[in-house]
Amino acid sequence: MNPHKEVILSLSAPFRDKIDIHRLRFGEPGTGPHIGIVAGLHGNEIGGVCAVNQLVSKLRQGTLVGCVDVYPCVNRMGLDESSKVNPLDHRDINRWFPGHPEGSASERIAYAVFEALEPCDWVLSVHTGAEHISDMVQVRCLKENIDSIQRSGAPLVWKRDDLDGRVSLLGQCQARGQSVLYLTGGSGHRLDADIVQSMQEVIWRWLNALGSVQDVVSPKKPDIIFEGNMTEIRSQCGGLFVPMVKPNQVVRRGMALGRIQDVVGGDLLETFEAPCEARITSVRQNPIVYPQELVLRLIPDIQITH
Amino acid sequence: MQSSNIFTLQTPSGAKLTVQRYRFGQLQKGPKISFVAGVRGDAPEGVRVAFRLMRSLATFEDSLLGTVDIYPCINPLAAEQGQRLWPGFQIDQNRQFPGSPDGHPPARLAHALMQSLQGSDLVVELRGARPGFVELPQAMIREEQGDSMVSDGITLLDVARQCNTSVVWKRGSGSKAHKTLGHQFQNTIVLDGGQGNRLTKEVGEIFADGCLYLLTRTTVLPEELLPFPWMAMEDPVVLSDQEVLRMRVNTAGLFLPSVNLGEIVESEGELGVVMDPRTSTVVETVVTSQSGRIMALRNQPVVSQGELVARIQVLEGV
Repeated sequence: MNPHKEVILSLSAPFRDKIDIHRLRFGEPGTGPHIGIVAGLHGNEIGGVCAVNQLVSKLRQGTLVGCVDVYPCVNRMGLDESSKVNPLDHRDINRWFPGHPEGSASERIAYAVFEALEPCDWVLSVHTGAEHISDMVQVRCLKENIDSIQRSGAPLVWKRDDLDGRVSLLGQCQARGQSVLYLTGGSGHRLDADIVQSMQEVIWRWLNALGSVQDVVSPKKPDIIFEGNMTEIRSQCGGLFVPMVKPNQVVRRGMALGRIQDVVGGDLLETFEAPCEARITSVRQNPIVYPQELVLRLIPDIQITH
Repeated sequence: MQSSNIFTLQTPSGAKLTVQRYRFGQLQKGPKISFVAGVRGDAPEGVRVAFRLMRSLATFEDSLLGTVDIYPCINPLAAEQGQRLWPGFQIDQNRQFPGSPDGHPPARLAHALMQSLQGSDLVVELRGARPGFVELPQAMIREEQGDSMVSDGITLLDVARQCNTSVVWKRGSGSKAHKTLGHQFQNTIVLDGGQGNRLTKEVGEIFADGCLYLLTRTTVLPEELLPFPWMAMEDPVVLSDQEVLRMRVNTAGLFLPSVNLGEIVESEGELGVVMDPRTSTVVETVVTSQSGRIMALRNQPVVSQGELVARIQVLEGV
């Protein structure tokens, strides 16, 4: 099935041709579940854009009921310049929802996306971790939506009271009564093929569980369902952080997780050890650290509910 | 007027970016003068002058006795951001010349511009002041090129003197100059002045009039078509590097100037102070060692050791 490609907003820019924001529509509204999938709100989150484009390839060959609207790259200008924010007005589009049709470029984009998503039953916002952190692939969901993700095979499902803040896309969609999910993994500016594949498979299984995708998909329980706050490990001193673990790795109590070295001379300034048996969920990618900066996140094994 | 794209780039997300040339007059006759603006994205004054010049030329194109090519904005993505460097690459376009047809986009753009500028008898780069400074409108040429011939009996210095600026500065070349646009052609004038990354109305008018005036000197524009009397044009002083005093600070802090642009200062006169923002104490008083006129003055106060805060046109006997 080929999607219907539509321009939801055509935005002028000072020195270049008009910038079109696209929607790819699979299926017909009103014939079943209506799902909206949004990627690239942040121009540096390439992994999410690639995962959604992989999904588009699968949807082209799949059998659908209902309608799946895919917005593969909302912040095209940011992507061109490897910028999280929209370079036309230097704003984080995901902090300007519900937007305004006569506002700045980011407000207009937010408004167009928000309006276009209005008929959707579900809205999924696809991201990657921040530029300086690598996250394990995870779905963040509100407690009441946990059932929808039980067959997604997500490496981590994080049940939360709030997903992304009130003025984010999901915050506003939730406020108007839509069901929402947040998917992230990896880190900004980088592409990891395994993470992209994992994110795409999570979305595909989730669509199957919702009844959108009719193809035979083997359901899979999430590896971890977690609720509450993760344990954060922060630096005590500044220097070069050298990680010794990766996201999704299981560590035993006392195991070395990383160290900080002196930039001048390389002396060992600080070491990090696992406080208990745990799963690593985030690892700092930018080695330059100041005191009190986040270097690792983990979930103690005892808090893992599944 | 003919417009053409000298460079087209498809961005990673599929958007199309173009760099334009606007041509006035006919190539078959007379000299070819090229005006280039927006090589860096923090020089909007040059872009404005280019557009003003285009509007003027459109009114008397049929009378031109040569060809005028205008490139109003070479680095559109940087201009969109109002920043010096090409976004994403973080590359200074004015360190990419002569470029390469097989390189990354900034190198290919430099190469495309070089190809398009071939055959120019004169290249005029339209800029503004450097960021963080206010500067007198000035025409700059390379020191060794002053006697270079632009057309019959007319040297580069002759033309530079007809840019309606109060100063013509014959500058020596720095160590990185060979990669700049201004170093690629024998006959190049750089127009500089105003405020860094800002428009200054008077400076824009000075440059726009100066560009028309220099077209008369190069015989492209008949003098009687000038929309202003030529007597109103500035008669500049010509300076060498030895006649320009560069004032730097020795301490870090906030430079608070006590003089204005264009002001005459006496030897040992105070130019400003450096204040330590943590203690609110004056840590340095910047004093000129020679008398002269303030050609450029820092208006972005944060300075580190050794930073330029002023340029002074040395005047003897003040």
